[in-house]
Amino acid sequence: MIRVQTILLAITLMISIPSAASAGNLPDAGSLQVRQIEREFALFTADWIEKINRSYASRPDRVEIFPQGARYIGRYCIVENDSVLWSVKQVSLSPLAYIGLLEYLEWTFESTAWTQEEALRGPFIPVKGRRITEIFRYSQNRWQ
Amino acid sequence: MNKSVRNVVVSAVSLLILVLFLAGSGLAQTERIVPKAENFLFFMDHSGSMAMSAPSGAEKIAEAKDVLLAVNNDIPVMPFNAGVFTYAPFKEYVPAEAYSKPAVAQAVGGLKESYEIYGRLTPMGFGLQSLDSLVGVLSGRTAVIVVTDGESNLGPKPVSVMQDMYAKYGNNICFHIISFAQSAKEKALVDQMSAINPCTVSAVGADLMDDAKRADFVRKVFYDVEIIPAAPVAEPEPVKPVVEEVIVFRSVHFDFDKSNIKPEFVPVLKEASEMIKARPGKNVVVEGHTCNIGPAVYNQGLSERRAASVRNFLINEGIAAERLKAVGFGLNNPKYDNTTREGRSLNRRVELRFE
Repeated sequence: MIRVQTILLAITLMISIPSAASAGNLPDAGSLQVRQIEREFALFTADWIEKINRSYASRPDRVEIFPQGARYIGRYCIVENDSVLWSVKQVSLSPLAYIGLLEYLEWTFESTAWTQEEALRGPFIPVKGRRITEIFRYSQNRWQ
Repeated sequence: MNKSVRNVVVSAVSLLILVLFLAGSGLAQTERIVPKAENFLFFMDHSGSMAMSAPSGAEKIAEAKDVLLAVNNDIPVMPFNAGVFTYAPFKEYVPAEAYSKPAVAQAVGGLKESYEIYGRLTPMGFGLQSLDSLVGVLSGRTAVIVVTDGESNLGPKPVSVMQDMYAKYGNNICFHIISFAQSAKEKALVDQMSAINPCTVSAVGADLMDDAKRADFVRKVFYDVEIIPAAPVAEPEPVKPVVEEVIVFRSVHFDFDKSNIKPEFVPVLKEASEMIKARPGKNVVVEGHTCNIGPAVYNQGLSERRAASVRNFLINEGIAAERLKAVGFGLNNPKYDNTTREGRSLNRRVELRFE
């Protein structure tokens, strides 16, 4: 009995205690998990930005034209790719309790012209920016 | 004319004079006139030959007076010293002092005409030498406007005297010629005098009764026009677009047709509350948005309830209620394409917009 208990204790200790003795050689399971979650979030955010850009009601391939007085305004929205930042936070000690923060700059571009065709052609200038932070959660082994 | 009418007339005339003066100044805002000399002297030949007839039939002295009066009238008001002198005989009519247009006009106008010709020779060289003693006490640059018919039949050669004066005063003297020469010999002397120094402006006297030619003469003798470059117009600062800060929840799911927040989304909202707390000076508008599925009225109410629900959560997290305002937009602000499933899911959102 004692021998079995000793064996079981050893196994438990091997599983639960980080192998400090081998830390210099292999990463622990916890940090591996974090890095995997971060990798998933990186992929997730890339897909998310693509989805945002193709889903804008007014976008570069679908410029919105509307009258304003005697003139026409052309408008579209787009995410500034170089502005995209993301980070992952652990929100509790519960396993897989992570939130992901995705930041990006969304720009609204407009043109002004006397005709719809000219408004469509531009030139477009940025008229409004929004620094957006989206907060996601890691649930059921995926970001959502 | 009674007093009130007279006053009106005087005012109208004054206004007209002012307008004409301003119009007549004629200079662009980016131009200014700069005097070519600090002093100018009219030096009139008053010899017997000038009392002879010009081609017009009038005495040359009479024409010369008319020309000088017109030139005097055209000279711009500038801080000159001016004098009027004659030779044959040499006489000072106006000493070289602060320029007075009326004084010069009076002196020129008062020059005798129809005087005795015989024995009245033309010692231009002597006259110039006499003038030299006056030029010597003037400071700055001096323009001598010589009115001559090209005769000089007594004393030193005028060209030699002029050359001596140029050598003596350098760039501080320039002789200009208004010629009433008629014969080839007279014209040759005028040409010789004109050729001594490239600064000389020479004109035929009769030509200067033409306004344009006279204006050109005056311009060349008395002043330069400087172009003052316009101050560079600074390029307007490009208007920087407004950048507002927004937190967006898309993954915060509400129970269907409900506004209560599911517990699993609390960490997301807590993170948002921390972000709000980190910006203590800013108020927040909590905006609820929906997609376009369902009636507008229904979606309006749903968005308002969800916005209020998020607002209540944030208040419970310790954010002052007065900082938070909840607004429902329903389906009225579809930022994303409602014709696609993706777009509709993106439209179903709550935004926290910092003000």
